[in-house]
Amino acid sequence: MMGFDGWNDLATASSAHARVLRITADAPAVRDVLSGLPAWPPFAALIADTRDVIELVLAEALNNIVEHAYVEASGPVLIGLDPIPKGLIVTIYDQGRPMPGGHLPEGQLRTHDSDGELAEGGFGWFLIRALTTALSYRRQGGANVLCLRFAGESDL
Amino acid sequence: MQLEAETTGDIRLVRVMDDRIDAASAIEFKEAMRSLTQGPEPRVVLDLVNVAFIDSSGLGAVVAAMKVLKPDRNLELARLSPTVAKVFHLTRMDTVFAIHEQVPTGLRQAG
Repeated sequence: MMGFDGWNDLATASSAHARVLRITADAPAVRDVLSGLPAWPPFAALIADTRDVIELVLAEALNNIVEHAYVEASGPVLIGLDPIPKGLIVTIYDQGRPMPGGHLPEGQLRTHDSDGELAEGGFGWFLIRALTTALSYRRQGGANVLCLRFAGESDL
Repeated sequence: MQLEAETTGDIRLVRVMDDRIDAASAIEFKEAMRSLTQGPEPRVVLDLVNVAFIDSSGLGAVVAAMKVLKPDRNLELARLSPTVAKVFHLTRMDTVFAIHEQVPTGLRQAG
């Protein structure tokens, strides 16, 4: 596991979460995070639809970090988990590139690309927005901080 | 990414043996599909009975596999789990594919 000495502020902030996961951003590590969630009782206690939604949205958010935040080389990701009634708040910290324009993508559903062909990508932010009850993004101390809220009944 | 393929009548049936099609396996999936669907069968059916999870990368890989078969053939899907079906439905990709509840037997016309 990588040290996080450069993340002094964030290390303090991350200790405020009920559970913190630390990974290096790559596809196998993302799979490990998702497969490890059911072993955490507050996650296991959620209804199946909510668990499915969280798994999918986390996959999308973490894959975005792997592919777009850390482009040249991998990097550390902190994932803070905080249970709420029937749901979960997930806070994801990475040291990769900022979001273009400093804000979240709109995530409109685009089924076809600009050539009129069926889209093979770009569904990620649409799914994240469609399946979270709230989300926010900020830059803090050279890091991206993405907060995702899954509350109550899922939309699935 | 494990796929198994067999030909029955006019159908090339490809069954995904992994339980997820995701960012970690999307490229492998596309390559395996391409190599398994080079035959003359006019119909290609992707059996997703084992797949419990698909993310946008997996979805894109299935779309890419369909595009490879065009213009001569379509890609049909079978036995989507409720979770996988919801991802296709949310993204409207369920309107793009013929989706079967059971694996077609190859004796009927393509829907």
